[in-house]
Amino acid sequence: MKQIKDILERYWNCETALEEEKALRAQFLNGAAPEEVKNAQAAFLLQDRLAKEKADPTFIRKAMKAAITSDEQKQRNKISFSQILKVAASVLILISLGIGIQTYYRQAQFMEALFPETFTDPEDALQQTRIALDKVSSSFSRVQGILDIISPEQVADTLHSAIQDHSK
Amino acid sequence: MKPDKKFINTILPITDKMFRLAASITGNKQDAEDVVQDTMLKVWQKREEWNAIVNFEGYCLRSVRNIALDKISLKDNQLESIPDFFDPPMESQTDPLEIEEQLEAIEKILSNLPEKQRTVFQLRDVEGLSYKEIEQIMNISEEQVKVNLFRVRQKIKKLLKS
Repeated sequence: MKQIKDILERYWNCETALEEEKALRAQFLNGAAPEEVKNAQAAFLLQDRLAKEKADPTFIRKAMKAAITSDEQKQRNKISFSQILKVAASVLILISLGIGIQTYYRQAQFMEALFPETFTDPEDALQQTRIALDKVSSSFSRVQGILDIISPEQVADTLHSAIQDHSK
Repeated sequence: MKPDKKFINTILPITDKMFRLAASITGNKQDAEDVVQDTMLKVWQKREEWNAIVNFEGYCLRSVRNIALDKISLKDNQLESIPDFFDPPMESQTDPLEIEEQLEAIEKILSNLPEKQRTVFQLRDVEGLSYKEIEQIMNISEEQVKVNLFRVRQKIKKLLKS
């Protein structure tokens, strides 16, 4: 009896080892504790009651499954995001191509407006060019004829006087 | 062994302990379950580090405590600690209490303790862990473990003797 009283006192003072506390608890739970120390029984009864509380097994199963499958959900989210990126990149490429094609055709139309092609047949174009050059050549010949009669200096003096008269 | 099998085999035996610790800190079953769920997720996500863990049970219980503390601080838990010198009033100093009333009175004392004292009591007197294990779980010295435990036991002793 003295022994259990001593152990109990050391228990309250946190001087007991784990094994002593286990033995003490067992004595109180078995009803083997003497009357003198019976008032301490509630302390060990409560410890025993608290130690028997359990988590809901259904909840535990669900929680473990949720933890293990959490990675799969993460992977699924990652995959769908990368798929979105791929689709977005494809759309961007298509848009760029469209803009490029549109720009090319607009440029072509612009050039067409600036330099319209009036001849479809190259032979016709050559013939017309020869006629135009002949006209230019005959014009040069008439000028040369005039220069044979009047010297270039005289032409220049006449032009100079005309300009001076005009400016007055 | 596949990670998921190892996870199940290792954590399943200690889920009740995890739940009880979470409940002692948060004060209610729903929050305790949330804490256990969050802990399992955290432990699973860190499975690359399992091989480096010496005491897996201690590792899990430490995670439980940290997550539970975050939870109660977020909720601005009103379980404020009563100063150590406070003694719960007794209706009569001469009439002995029935066992159930004594149990209720002890539980009330425990629920009003600072978290460190509640946790030390839970880990030592309920779960039967050594001072060394408690030291590692709570990240406090063995001396601090004993000091906190001493305060709890003295309060219970005073209640029962009165």
